[in-house]
Amino acid sequence: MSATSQTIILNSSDGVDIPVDKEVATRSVLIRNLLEDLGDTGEPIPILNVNEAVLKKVLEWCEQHKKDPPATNEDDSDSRKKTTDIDEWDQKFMQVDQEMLFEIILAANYLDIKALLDVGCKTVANMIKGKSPEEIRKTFNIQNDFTPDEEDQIRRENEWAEDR
Amino acid sequence: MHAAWHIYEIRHQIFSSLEPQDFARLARICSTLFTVCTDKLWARIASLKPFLHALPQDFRERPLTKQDVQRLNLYADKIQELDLEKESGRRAIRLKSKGLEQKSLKKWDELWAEIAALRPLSDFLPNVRRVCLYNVTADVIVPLISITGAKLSHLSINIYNPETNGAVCQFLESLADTSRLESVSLHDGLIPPKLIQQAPLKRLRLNHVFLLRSDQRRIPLCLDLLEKSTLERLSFSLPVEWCWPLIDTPKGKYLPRLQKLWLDLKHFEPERCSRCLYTKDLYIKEPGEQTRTHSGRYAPALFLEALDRPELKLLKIELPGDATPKMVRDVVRAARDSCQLNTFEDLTLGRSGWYSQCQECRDTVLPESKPEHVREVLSTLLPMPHLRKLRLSVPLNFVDSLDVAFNCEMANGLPMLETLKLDFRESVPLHHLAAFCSMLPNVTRVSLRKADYTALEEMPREEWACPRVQRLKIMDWDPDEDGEGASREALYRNLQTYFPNTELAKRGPE
Repeated sequence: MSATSQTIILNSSDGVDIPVDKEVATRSVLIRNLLEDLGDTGEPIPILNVNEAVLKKVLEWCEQHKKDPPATNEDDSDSRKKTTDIDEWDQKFMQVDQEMLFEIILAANYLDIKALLDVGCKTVANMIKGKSPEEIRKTFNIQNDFTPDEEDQIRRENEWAEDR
Repeated sequence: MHAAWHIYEIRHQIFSSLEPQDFARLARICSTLFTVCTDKLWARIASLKPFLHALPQDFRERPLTKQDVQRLNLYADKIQELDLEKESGRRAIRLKSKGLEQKSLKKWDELWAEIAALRPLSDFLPNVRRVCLYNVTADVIVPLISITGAKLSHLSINIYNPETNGAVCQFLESLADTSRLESVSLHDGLIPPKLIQQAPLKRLRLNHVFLLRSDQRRIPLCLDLLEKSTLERLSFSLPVEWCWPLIDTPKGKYLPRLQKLWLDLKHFEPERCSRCLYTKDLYIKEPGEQTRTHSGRYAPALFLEALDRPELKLLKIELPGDATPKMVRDVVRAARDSCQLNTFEDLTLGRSGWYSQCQECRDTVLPESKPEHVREVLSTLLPMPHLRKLRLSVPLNFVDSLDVAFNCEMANGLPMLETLKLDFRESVPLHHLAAFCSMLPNVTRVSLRKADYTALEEMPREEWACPRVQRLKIMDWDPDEDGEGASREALYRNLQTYFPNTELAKRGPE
């Protein structure tokens, strides 16, 4: 399959070619740098760590946000990080099973798509906020390796943080 | 647990949206999350309460064992910032450890002595990088005395209670390793000489600080500071005792790397009029009168003359309110001769600390400054091709009488000037300000203390318009306060003519 001038082909980790608009794909800093370094040869670009299902999902997000202005340093300010507000479209986009949510986060991290990583991590943060430790364990399927005494000790040692 | 939790960048991003109480709960989930969440939670500590939580519940009632302090050690190793300061107000932080004050229980000092015996305090807080103490009491400082400070890079101490000075000094004296300490800010206190001498200080801010020699003598700082060749930023109030015989005289050239200098000369002159200082021989006199003030001390200009032509970007000098024209002239000339003026970006020649009466004769003291003195001083410094901000304390009639030649000299000598702040003690007619600013074509921000709302022009003159000025800030903006005879319409008509593109002009009369 050959690419048109504005279309490039991404090859997922499970060997599937996915044609995509260049403007959409270059939301990923990794892909943008690859294209700048290697030139647009028309050959499929291997995306080694992301399978077809996740890559398509990521590209769906990139399509929606292709006109967004690039991230600035100001976006990294603490005031923005502390908020867990997510816009409506992104909230719906992130309504996936937990395995897919973490795969999207991993893919965003690998492909260097800062805004998508941010949305994914905020979604996880929202799933943590206000929950008890037991609820968090259940939500994320995490095994408790503390004895009840150890857990109680940790609670006492860190309960000062509840007043902050 | 999904593999994504194990990637630092992802964890960091998730954690950046969480609050301390979320980390406290996450720490209880499993041992992996305990480590990463307590690393985050304990990285910055804003009170001593967490230390007490890390001890066994009955720590007040029985002797501690090595095992008891293991948890304290575990958490203390995670602390990078210790920020024991009030966010607002000056109310001292006091310990809220119930029971510690009761006679039958352990006292605070005893508790820390016990902990020190079980683990040397020198091993305590090994990773702390930043310590801020703001208006704390001496007992808050007790746990810090004898930490090594091996990773300490920033230290800021503001103490308003003299009784705490001893503990602060003990803490500073006990810092055994200051090899990474680059920034120190200390207000009202004592500092051991070794801290100044040994630390690779780049930023130093000292206000009313004395050296405490090993024989417990308090010595005003002088040569020790000048010899700190690593300094890039220095904020310093020149003490009254400047260059008394007990302080060594600066003989060489110093501080070649200095980039920013805030020099406070307000406290250099004691609150006495010149006549009293001349006649009552209040200070020790020595030969070399030309380098001394009337009181027999070295002139403050000598401090600036000792600089080794640093490429200063910022120079801020606060002069005493009754500084004589000679003092101002000497200080400014010393700055010109000892610093590279072509690098200045920000210059302040301020005056403050007016006092109403001489402490000796009770005469009222008035500043002597006249417009021609300010003009002469500024001309001395021109040109400053990169200067963007200029703050000047000027006499009342500085902008009343236009000096076209001087303004042209300013416009040519300050081609990059964007911000002009003129400090007047009294209110200034707007049209006088506009006439002055209109000759400085690149200025976009103007600030003054108070405008004279009673002296408004019936027919504002278009030729004094300052369309480039985007921001006009009048500190005491209250046109109603002394607006007798002035209408709001006339005020805004003047503003709209002279400063048409400022918010004040656009607001219009209400």
